[in-house]
Amino acid sequence: MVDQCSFCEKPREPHSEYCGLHKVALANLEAQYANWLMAFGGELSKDEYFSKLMSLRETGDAVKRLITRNQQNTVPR
Amino acid sequence: MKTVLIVTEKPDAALHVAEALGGRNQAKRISVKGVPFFEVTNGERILVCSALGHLYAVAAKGSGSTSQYPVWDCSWKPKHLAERGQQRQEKWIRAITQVSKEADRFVNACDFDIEGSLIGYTVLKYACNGADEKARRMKFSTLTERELREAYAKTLPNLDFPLAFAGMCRHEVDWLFGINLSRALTQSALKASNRYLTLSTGRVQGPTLRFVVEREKEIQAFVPTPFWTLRTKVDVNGRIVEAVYEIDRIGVKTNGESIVKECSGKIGTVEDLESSTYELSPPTPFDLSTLQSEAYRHFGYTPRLALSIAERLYLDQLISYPRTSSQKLPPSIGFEEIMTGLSQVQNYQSSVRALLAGRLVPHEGKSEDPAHPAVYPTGTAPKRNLSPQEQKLFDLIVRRFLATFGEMATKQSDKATIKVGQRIFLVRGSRLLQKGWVPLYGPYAKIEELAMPKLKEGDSVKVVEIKLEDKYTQPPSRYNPSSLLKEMEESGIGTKATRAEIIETLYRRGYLRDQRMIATPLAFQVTDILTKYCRRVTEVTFTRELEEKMEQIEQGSARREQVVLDTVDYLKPILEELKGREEDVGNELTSIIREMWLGSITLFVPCPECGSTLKIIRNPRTKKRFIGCSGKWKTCCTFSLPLPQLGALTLLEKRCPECGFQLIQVKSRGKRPLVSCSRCYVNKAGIQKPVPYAPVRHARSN
Repeated sequence: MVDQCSFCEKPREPHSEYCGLHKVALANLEAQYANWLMAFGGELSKDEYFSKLMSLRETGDAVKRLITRNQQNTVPR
Repeated sequence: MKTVLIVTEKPDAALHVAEALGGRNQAKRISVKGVPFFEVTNGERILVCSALGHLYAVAAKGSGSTSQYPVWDCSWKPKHLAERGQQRQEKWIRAITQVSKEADRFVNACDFDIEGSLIGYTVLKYACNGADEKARRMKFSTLTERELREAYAKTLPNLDFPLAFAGMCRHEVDWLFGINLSRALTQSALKASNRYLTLSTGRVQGPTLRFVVEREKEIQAFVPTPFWTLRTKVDVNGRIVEAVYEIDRIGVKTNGESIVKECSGKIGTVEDLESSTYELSPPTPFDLSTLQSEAYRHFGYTPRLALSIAERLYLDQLISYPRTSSQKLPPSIGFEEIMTGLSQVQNYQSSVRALLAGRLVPHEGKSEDPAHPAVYPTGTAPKRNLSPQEQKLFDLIVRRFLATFGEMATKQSDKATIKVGQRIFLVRGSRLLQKGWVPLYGPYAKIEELAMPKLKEGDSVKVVEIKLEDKYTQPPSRYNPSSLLKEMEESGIGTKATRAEIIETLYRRGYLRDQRMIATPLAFQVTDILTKYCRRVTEVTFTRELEEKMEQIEQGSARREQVVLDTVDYLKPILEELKGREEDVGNELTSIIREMWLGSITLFVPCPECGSTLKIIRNPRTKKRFIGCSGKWKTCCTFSLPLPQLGALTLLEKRCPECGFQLIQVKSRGKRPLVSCSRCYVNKAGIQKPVPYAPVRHARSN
């Protein structure tokens, strides 16, 4: 369906590609990168950030799904 | 001789009332149509009968279809006509009606609260041919002989109609919400997916489920952030103690690393010593929700279990009425008499002796309940062996009661400030100076004490260990039955009598699983649909407004009929919208229902012969169910196992301890659930020793 979330079968939020849950998860994921970067003195790549989040049990399942999809879509370097 | 008919809420209460009014062992048990009554003579002939909880319920007027909605016309009907499986109630109503014809006077002796008032009112009005108008009301908080005799001598001249009408209103409003919204969801799903699944929601259920779903969303979208803490040990005159860095969370890793570098192995100086004392007040007497919360904390009892145990203790005359919001204990309950009674139990002797030596003044809380005091033990010793669960809850209630009469406890808190270079570390300690009420509450008082080493200003201490530890911010905690109940209470939704039951319903409907509540995909879907099409139904504000209106009915400042009409006006446009969007709602529910249905018929263990998926299959000709292999058409596999033909079948997530095959559970009405292994059943029937389950290929580990 056209108005489905890019990550699940739920309907999209208005003016967004994602459902409510994934929209919030993505916003959190993007917003927290700045905090992680500061915590590690500016030395943390996005890949490292994602892989650390994937290894933590505190990370939400919706966030992990976003990261997994992101990693699958990335062309291996 | 005049005949009085007294109506109680439960059979045990009827016996206690009869014995209190006629003398112990004087109550004659008679049976009318198989229903027990108790007869005593005390200057008048007293017949005591009991209800079985509610004997009447709200139902749609007429005998319309059970799938049709919206429905607005409702009336009170005998419960066996309103709900399925209530045949016992029919017998009860007939017996009460027959006996009521002999009675000249009527008394409602059901529990003194909304539900009790309503139960008595409906029995007297409908089963006793309008006796509600001339009936009197007994008001009591314990089932002890003394209180029951007093309550009978001082019966209120009329029934507590405002309380009963508030109860009626609550049932009617809840029925309007529940029946219409639940049917809208169920019918939409049925039409779209062709599968029947009871999808319920309600005035309180909707907002309660939303609490859990919103929390689950927060957890699922949570991104932790790192911080660091310092784990430090210092040597104080040869004794190693823990110290904490003055900042509990270090936000930048390199900052933490430089502190470690600066302080490792260094000598620090005690700069300052601080000590403060403060008082710890005794706990307040138990209201129901605090009792439920403590029972969960100490024993892991769900609120519903705690309430049902407390009700059994109440019916055994051991404690006062548990459905109370009060944290007050009035002197009229007889503190000394209760204490003397409790001193007969060896465990409480020394505590009671200590308390009786002083003045008995309880440390009361703020909450009040006009109908009942806080929960307290009656001082009566148990007449039967209590079950371990009952024993534990009884002990908690007794010790809490005793602790409320205790003295203040005093605690000393100490803090030493240690300077290492430019960095500040703290060593903390605490101890109880005066134990006060703490020993009275026994194992339930958890006061932490931490020994403080002897230090004086200027002392030198050596940092013997300093480690930087990785930490992460935590997602919000999942609700458990106790914290959800508290959330409901703080949000002002539901009543003390209904909250625990609503939480259980959410589990029964498949919306929640586990003690630390996880909202299932079905819960997400139902909440999302309700939020999308009728947001106010899931909001706390609306249901809280209704609670306030019902309180106004109790106080006589609002009319039940008006509140019900307002509810209908509110629900009409919502139901019209849902009816018009039935197809959309159904489509949104279809995938989740299909997923649930597939999950309920698919085994997680693969076929041991071909490795394909095993499923529960029903033979279209014989209608018999069995476990069959879905690879039949591809691999011609004929593997199958028999299943019990009667009862509701559930695939468990457990394996058979003998052969490792997936276990099944069969539940039949009125019987205990039976857990069995189909594979072992076949092997045993064929007098073969079960062999370990081992699929030949494509085996999935689960």
